[in-house]
This record gives sequence, C-alpha cells and structure tokens, in this order.
Amino acid sequence: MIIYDTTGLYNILVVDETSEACRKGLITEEELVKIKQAHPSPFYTPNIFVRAGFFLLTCIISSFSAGLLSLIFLDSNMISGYAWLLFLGLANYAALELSTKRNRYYRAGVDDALIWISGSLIAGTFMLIAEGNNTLISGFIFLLSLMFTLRFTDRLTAVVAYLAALACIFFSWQKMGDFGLLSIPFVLMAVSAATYVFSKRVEGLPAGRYYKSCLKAVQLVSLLTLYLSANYYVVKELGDMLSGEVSDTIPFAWFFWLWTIAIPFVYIAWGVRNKDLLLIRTGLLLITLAVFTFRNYYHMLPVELAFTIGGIVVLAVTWFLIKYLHTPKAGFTSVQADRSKEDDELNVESLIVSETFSDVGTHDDGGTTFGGGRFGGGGSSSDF
Amino acid sequence: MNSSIFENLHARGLLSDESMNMILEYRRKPLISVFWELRTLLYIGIVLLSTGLGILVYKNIDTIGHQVILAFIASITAGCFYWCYKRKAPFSTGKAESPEAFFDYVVLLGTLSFLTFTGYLQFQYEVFGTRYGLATFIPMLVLFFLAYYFDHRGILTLAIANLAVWMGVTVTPKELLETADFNSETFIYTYLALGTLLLLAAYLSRRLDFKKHFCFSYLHYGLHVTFIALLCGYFFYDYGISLVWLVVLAALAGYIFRFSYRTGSFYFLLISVVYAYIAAGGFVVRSMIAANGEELLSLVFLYFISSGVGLIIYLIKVNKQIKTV
Repeated sequence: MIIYDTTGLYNILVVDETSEACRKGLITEEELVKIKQAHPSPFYTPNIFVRAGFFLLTCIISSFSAGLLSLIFLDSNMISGYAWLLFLGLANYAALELSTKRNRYYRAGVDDALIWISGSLIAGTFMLIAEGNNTLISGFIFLLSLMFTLRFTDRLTAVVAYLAALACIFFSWQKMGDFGLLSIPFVLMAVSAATYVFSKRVEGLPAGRYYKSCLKAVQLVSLLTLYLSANYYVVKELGDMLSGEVSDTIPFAWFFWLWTIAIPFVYIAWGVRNKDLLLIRTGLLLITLAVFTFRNYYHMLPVELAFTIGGIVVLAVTWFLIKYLHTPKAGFTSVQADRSKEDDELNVESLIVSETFSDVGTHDDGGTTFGGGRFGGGGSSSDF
Repeated sequence: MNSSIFENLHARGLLSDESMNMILEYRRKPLISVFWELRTLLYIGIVLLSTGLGILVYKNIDTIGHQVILAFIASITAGCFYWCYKRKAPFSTGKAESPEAFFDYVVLLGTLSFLTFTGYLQFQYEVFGTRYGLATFIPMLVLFFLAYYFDHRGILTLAIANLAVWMGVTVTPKELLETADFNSETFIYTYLALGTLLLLAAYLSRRLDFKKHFCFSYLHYGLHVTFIALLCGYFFYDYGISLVWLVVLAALAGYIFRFSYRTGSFYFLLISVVYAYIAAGGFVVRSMIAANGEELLSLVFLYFISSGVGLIIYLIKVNKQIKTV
C-alpha cells in the first residue's frame, strides 16, 4: 500500500524519536550517533527551502510539459474535453510513481507538487463530469485523497480527505429538509468527535506507525471542526444562508453559546490532564475565536479598550505562568527543552515582527498599482 | 514516544540500561515544555496592547489632554527601556544572550510605544515640521541604535523597514507587492541603492565581526531587494541595454552562490539560483520575441522543461555536497 520502503520509514521514525529523546537529555549524544549510523535513511528529503524551490520548479516543468504536449496535438481534436484533462492527470501520476520509486524522493517538493497536480487534474475531470452534484464530487475527492494519503503518507491530503468526507456528509444530510437543517450541527459534531477518537486509536496501533503526521493533522482539524460545527456564529449564519432568511436567534441557542465559550477551556483542561500539547494549542487558538464570536453579537466594550484590557490580561497571565512554571509543576515547564532549534526560529520570528508591524510609519505612494504580477508564481514568462 | 522502538533499540544493545531507565521514567512522568506557547502568548499580548493603545490615543485625541497621553506613552517607553537597561548583558560585538524570556518582548513593547510616541509628537505638534525626511530619519537612527544596543533582530528588521521608508520605498515583501510600482525608473534606482546599502551592511558585519548574526537579516532583505530591482531594470529597458542589467545580476548571483557555498548556507544559495533562473527564463522568452520566432515556441517550452529538470538534479547534487562539508 505504501509506496515507500517501510524499513526506510522505520529508520526515519527511530531517528526522529531518539533525536527528540536526546534533546530532552534522556539518552546520550554518543548513543544517538550510533543509532543514526545503524538507521540510515534511504530517501532524499531536503530542507524546507529546497522543498519549496523544487515544488515550484516541478510546477513549471509539469505545466510546460502539458503545454508542449498540447501544442503537438493541437491540430487533432484530442485536447478538447475531459479525456485530455484525465490523460494529463494520469501522466502526472505516472511521473509521481516513477520519480518516487526511482529517485527515492520523500517529502522533497517534487513528489508534493506531483501529488497536488495529478490529484487536482483528476478531481477536476470528475467535477466536469459530475456537473455540480456536490455529494458525488466531495465523495470522489474523499476517495481520491484517501488513496493518495494511504500511498504517500502525505498529511495535507489526509486533511483534504477528512474535510471532503465531512462535506459529503453535510451535503447528503442537508437534503433531508427541515429536520436535516436542525440536526446538521450535531451530526457534524458526532463525526468530528468520532474521527478524533478514531485517529487517536490508530496512532497507537502498529499499522498507524508510518501515518503519524497524517493522524496528527487529522486530529488537529477534527478538533477544529468539532468546535466549529457547534460554534454559535457558524450555526446561525450557515443556517440563515441555507434557509435564505435572517433569524434573530436559533433553537437551542443556550447550548451553542455554552459550547462556543466552554469548549476552548475544556480542550485546554483536557490537554493539561493528558499532557497533550495539541489540545492545549488548539484550545488557545479557539479562545480567540470564542472572543470574536461573542463580540460579534454583544458589543460590551469598544474595540480599543477590549484590545488594551485583553493585552494586559494576556501579558499578566503569561508572565505569571512563566514565573510559576519556572520550576516544573505537574509535568509542565516554561523552560525551553530544546535549544538547538532556537537560532532558526528566532530568525523566522524576526521576519514575522517586521510583517505585522510594517504599517508603522509607512507613507502612501499615491495610488500606484502593482504591475501585472510579473514575478508571481516563480515563473518568468507569464507576462509574454 | 513509541516504547516499542526504544525496547527494540535496547534489545539490540544500541541503548544502555541507564538510558532505557530514563526513557521509562519519562514515559511514566513526562515533562512538557510550553516555552513556545508562552512566547507566542507574550507576542500576542504585546500586539494587542500596543494596537489598543494606538487606537485609544487616536480616538481620544480631543478629550484627554495631549500632555497626559504623551506622558503615558513616554512612561511606558521609559519603563520598558529602564527595565531592559537594568537587566541587559554588557554590550559585546558578538551575540549577546537575552538575560530572560521576557527581555526581547519588553524591548519590543518599548520600541513600539516609542514609535507611537514620535508619531504622536509629529502629528500633534509637528516637531519636525514638514521635513518628513527628518521625521523618518530620526526614528530610524533610534531603531538601529536600539537593535544594536539590545541585540534584537526583530527591531533590526523594523529599522531596515524604516530605512526603506526614509528612502521613499517600503521594504517588507507584503508591502512591496501591494504598493510598489515597478515601472518607474526612480523606483528601480532607489531599490537598487537600498539593496546595495543592505548588502554592504551584511558584508561589513561579517568582515568587521561586528554583530555577525545580524548578517542574516541584512543579507535576506538586501538580496531580495537588489535582485528584484535588477530584474525590474532588466524588464524595463529595451533588449540591447537590458543585457547590462542581466550581466550585473549574473555577477551578483555568482558571487552570492560562491559565498553561500563556502559558508554552507543553502537558503542564500537557493535565492541566487532562483533569481538567476528567472532572469535566464526571461532572457530566453525575450530573445524569442526579439527574433520574431513564434515557431520557436515549442523550443522555448522544451527549454523550460529541460532546464527545470536539470536544475533539480543539480541542486540535489549541491545540497549533498553542502551537507557533507
């Protein structure tokens, strides 16, 4: 099922786990070196910059190849219609299989690009054929991405597969009329919760070993959808959109409000109990969503006061936590466990600082426009 | 942590009994570091607070007295800097370690409120009058000073952005795409000057061994700005003269390529290769248009396919070499 050599995947897994253990000081450097030597990776996996570069280059190669083929067959009637699209998708897939097997790419950018190109082309063909039947389309995308996930252990396709499955259930449930509309949030909640529990279970099984990153990604997204499917704003606005009228309130409003406000804290508490960082991070993220949802319906404070007070509260709580957790408590610490990564992250952080605050003091250049995206997309010839 | 993996390693003798015990102990009582989570929260808190204060000042400009607002912001700035001044490690020309987790964030908060302070001064009292050059030049000097004094790379990028504002352009990529006009000659030359200045700063930080770790930020912005300016220049002028720009671009790319190969920085190597590749692609297409050779179109397609494949193979090779160095 998996295209990769599983011994190689196991070696990568061993090196990952032991490196982490070494950073935490559980095993010695010498042991790590010995383990690394005993578990070489047979794959080619470059760093993130190279991966991005290869992704773009592969897109260029693929699109110009498609262009060249279309040029050659321009005179015949072959290139009109679904068949040509499908042919290009299958050709890209063949290139993906071949290059992954022969050149042993593993998350190298080339394979990522080919997964997306072939997947979108095949899905695009199906969309044209299905002509707007949402249930069918999302069902097909689910199957397609599931296949890609199982074969290439790619986490983004795993997320796409999960979301497509959710969409498929949504579209088919919606057809049930009024009852369907009312019960949709609960159905989506149940599906999200079931997916989370399921992926948590599979992670512990030997079969789930190589899909760890996929399962983690699905867990994160299912936690988000679990929250969003009963978030007051989402339920109300989506319900209004589907029924085509503007409502003042919704049935079971108290339940949805309780869910909107309480779930982020439940996630955090649960994460602290089970020592699960994913839950804690998701909970922290969702607090902002809860605040935004609340503010959308009840303007209790002007925005600047809300920002200022919020900022002070966040700073105070964080300050307290950093001091409090300086000596580890209940299995948590505010001290950095791993200093090796710091240099890289600091550099990235400095770039983020300049992006968020770049409006400080800039002056308007007076209605100038960007000249046509000449440098977009890494290509050089889109202008000609 | 997967226990079967460690048991397996232990059974094969790759893990000592002592380490295995540590692992088992950790599995029983894990210790989780929330260092990055707390740092993110600090950052969010500061963004919220300084944004809130900014709007607060803007909205209440008529009701509360100007002096009160000014004094309030000034006291935040002064408080932050005093706190940092007390704690900072002595100045060194190398990398100074932050004394504690908050340090960088307090410096950031102080700097941001300082910017609000000068902005307010200018808005309300027009201290700098209509000399807008001066109004951006002085904050820029202060930002550079703070970046070096407190050893803060985030503030260095702010200072670089301010330098760009002072020179009449914006430097961060987002703004560059939104507001920049690539089709004007003055802009091309301003960018070129800015890029060259930043590259010079990068070169000097390395050469004089003065805050060497700032080299990354200078080089990062300097390279992107210079390469984009050169590419704009290349596409701006006619076919004949534009070749000069192409040559300069190739020379710079070649130099950066050798430099990053020597220092083992694959990021900068990749940047130089990518910009050179864009320029080469542009050259091929423009040559085709200049030769009026529409029938050469499939050849151009073939060029992009083969050069793309070749580049990937070549970069994999270089990547392996750099790794082994």
